[in-house]
Amino acid sequence: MPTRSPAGGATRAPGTVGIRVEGIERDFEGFKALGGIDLAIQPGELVALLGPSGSGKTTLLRIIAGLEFATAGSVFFGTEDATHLSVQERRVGFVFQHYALFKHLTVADNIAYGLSVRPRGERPSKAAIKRRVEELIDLVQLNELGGRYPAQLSGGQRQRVALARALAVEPRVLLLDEPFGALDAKVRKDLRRWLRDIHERTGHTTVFVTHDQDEALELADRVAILSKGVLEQVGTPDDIYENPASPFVLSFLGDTVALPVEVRAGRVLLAGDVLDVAPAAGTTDGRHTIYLRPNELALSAPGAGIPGIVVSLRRTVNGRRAEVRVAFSDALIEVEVPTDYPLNVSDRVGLKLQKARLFPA
Amino acid sequence: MSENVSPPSAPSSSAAVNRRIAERAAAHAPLRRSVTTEAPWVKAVTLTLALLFLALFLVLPLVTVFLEALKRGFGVYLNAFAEPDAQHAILLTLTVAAIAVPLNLVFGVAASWAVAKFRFPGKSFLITLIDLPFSVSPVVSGLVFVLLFGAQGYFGPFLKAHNIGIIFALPGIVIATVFVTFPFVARELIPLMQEQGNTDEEAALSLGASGLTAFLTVTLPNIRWGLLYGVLLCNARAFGEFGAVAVVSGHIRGVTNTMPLHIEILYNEYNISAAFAVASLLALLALVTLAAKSVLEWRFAHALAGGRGH
Repeated sequence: MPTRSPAGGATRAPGTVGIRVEGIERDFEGFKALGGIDLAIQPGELVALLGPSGSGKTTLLRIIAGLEFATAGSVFFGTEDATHLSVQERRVGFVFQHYALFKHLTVADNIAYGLSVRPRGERPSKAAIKRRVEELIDLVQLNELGGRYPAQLSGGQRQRVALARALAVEPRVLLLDEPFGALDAKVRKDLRRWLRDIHERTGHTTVFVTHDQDEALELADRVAILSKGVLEQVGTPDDIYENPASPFVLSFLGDTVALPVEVRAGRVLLAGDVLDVAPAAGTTDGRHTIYLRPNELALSAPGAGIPGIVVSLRRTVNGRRAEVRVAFSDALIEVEVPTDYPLNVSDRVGLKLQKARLFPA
Repeated sequence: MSENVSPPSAPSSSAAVNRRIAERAAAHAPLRRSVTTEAPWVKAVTLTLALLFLALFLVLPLVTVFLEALKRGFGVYLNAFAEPDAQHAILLTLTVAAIAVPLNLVFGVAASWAVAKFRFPGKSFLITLIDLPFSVSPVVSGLVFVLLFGAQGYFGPFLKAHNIGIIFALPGIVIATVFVTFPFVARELIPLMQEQGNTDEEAALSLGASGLTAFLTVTLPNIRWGLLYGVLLCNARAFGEFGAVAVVSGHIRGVTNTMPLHIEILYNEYNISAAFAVASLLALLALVTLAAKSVLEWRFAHALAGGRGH
């Protein structure tokens, strides 16, 4: 029976397990693709592996799946050491970036594949396979398309078939490699909601790889951010956004402007001038970089916050966008301004910060 | 492209842009032909040249073969096949193809699999090596096997001691044919398999299929048309191979003569109508092969396109 999951408040698939990787390293002919990854994923949890290309996120996913093997480290499924299990023995559902549907098989036969290749003793009856396929076609909303071939489907439909095919084998965990990478923006958004919905209904422990910050934050219970083969931070979307652990995480999650500043006795100095900004308690003295997020800035009269000068003003769908040059630097930052806010080009303004995001330089 | 047509400031939907492009195209259509369309005289000259060439070098010889074969009447034509030597030659040719083609099917798939799916040192050398039979004269290919397996060859004494006949016997003919026809299947499959990569196989394995099951249910269907095409070409060449087989067979009538060798002997003996009769059968086999290939391509054009696309 499905049970409530501690992670997402969703149902949990029977037999789904947590995943734990310990000290995973991967060398590609001298190049270290992964340098010691430790990560624990709870049963039923939906986790995003987020990072720029080349960060090792797909390699980590493939190592969890057993499609690639680690140079060092272990993979656990629940309490079972899966490090040396073959991909077949791991019983994972893997959704490939370009779907990898079998072109010569219909949608229904694609979904049935995993069940029909089982050895005779374990193979369900033809009728049982047919029933299961129908269930899944229903789950992924592909009714009426069971007889079509992959070439006759749209990208979004192919993605649904790939997911149904992976779910058919009742996998212990579900792994998706850039699930929406090859789709256009509109379909991406729809499928995002749909995947979240499927996850809530089926409750598999799910790990997906993405380079899209929005996608990771919107979809995942927790996000693991990778850079250059190293885990930078793991946390809930709110947590990593509000409290980024490193300049990399901060600048990877949306646009930022970085300014070199100095902290001296609890005060922040930009080119010698004291800024109207309070550093967090315990910030050490010395050279720092302050990171500004456009959406955490508010325009105010000069004298408050960081001084700047309006360089240009543009109309947008939601209001106006002011391009502000930050004082004592060449940095330009774009701030959204309400239409009724009195502002002209060349006006001096103050950029008030909700939070001073300081990292030692 | 479409951005150039719409004014930069006005956000215009792509449908509207397309409509405008279509309108302009329609307005200009009567004035301009497509840039790639040549002047009528160029078309006429190239077409005539191509057709003349085809007629002279392909159609005429083929028609001649059948005309010459049937010149003395249908009875004489059939008589040529009634002769035991001719029948034996036909049987031998079919036997050789029946052994050589399946062997090359296996070799070809194995070689393409190795080249396409693995990284190993000497890979590009292997690809070049596969082409060797295409670049070496068939006579040389035949001679190589005589040097290896002939009475004076490296393995000659050993083979003689064990009473194994390779040269001037069926095994020699098969070996020479296998050598000459080796590239057909491999050449067809290597680019196909390289392009397809191995994600489909990974998908099959992740769904619990064994390596063999994945090969049979995923790899083979993915390459089936390329494979069939390669086999047809391989078969056509196996039927028709002359040079290499001529060297290793020894031209023993009724024993080691294949159809092409038999034709040559008949021709040298001025038995023209019999020579052309057997030749017409060989030509017919080639035509059937071509027809089979065309039918396959026509029937499965969609599958072929789908297999190579996306």
